[in-house]
Amino acid sequence: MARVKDDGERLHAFANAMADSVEAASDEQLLLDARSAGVDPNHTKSHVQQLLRGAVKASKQRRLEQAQAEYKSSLAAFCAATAKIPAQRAEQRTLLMHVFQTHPEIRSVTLQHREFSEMTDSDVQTLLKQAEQLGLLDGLDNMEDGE
Amino acid sequence: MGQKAPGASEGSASRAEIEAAIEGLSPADAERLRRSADSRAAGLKGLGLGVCGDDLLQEAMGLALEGTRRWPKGVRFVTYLLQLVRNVAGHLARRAMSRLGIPVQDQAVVEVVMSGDPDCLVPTAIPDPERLAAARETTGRIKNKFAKDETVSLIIEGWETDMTGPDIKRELELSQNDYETAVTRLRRGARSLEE
Repeated sequence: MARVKDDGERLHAFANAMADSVEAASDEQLLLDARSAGVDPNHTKSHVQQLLRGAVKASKQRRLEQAQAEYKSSLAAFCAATAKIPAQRAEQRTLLMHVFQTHPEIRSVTLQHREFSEMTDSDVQTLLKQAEQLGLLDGLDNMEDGE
Repeated sequence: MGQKAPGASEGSASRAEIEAAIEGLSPADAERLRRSADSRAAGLKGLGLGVCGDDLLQEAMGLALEGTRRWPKGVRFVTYLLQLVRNVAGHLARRAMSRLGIPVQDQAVVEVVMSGDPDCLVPTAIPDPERLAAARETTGRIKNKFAKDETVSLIIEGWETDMTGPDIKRELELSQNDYETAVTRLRRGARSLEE
């Protein structure tokens, strides 16, 4: 036996059928509907366009905020990753030398045929950052004795 | 070709194309979008959801830009947006019906397949006595307007009980032309009540 709909459900069903009818109506019919109700279709057009433009703008804003959040997050990760690298260039070289001593295989790959003294400060910093990302600086925090 | 929206594929439109489609909307298509969204929102009020047509349109546009189902090339922008409005309304209806303990029998609601996350649209909940009274008031106004038009009154009854156009035509022994003419009277009369 079919269940009896309450008044709200009946309105829901009616309104959906009305929406379907609107969607299926021809352009001419819809424009006539509007004009017979005293509505200017151009006004409706402006309203709908403004609404949709607003949604586009909000979406762009959300994407921008998301990109900013991702940038901040990656910047924080970078800062955290370089936290173990000393600020002074001499100490950076000492640390890298220590890494090479601890991991000779890294030395052969990175230096190849160059001498350690030939490396620029920038090379040293880059290698230390890579070593940090590989976890090679872990456990070297207490290297104050200049090993 | 403009910048692709995230998740857009080769077969779907870019953001720039969506923006161009908005600028190219015709007055008739804008009417179609607004009236369909307003109608579906009015139906949701019957289920206790305080939402307006503009909310549904904005949500649909948000899904068009950020959801997983993009505007497929070859489909009219208005057709695509109307489908998204229908999806959003159907999704909200299903949740409302579940909350009200109403079995979901309406095929239009059952067949909804959401393409994104509509949960950011949170309609106001209308208390049950108010929901029913408002629904009676809304349909009462429409029925009063057509009280002397027997065919339209019967079509309203049919639509309220999920009868399809072919079913109504058969039951009332209406020709296609008579049915369409009566539906046009109903749609036009209901339009004047919306303003």
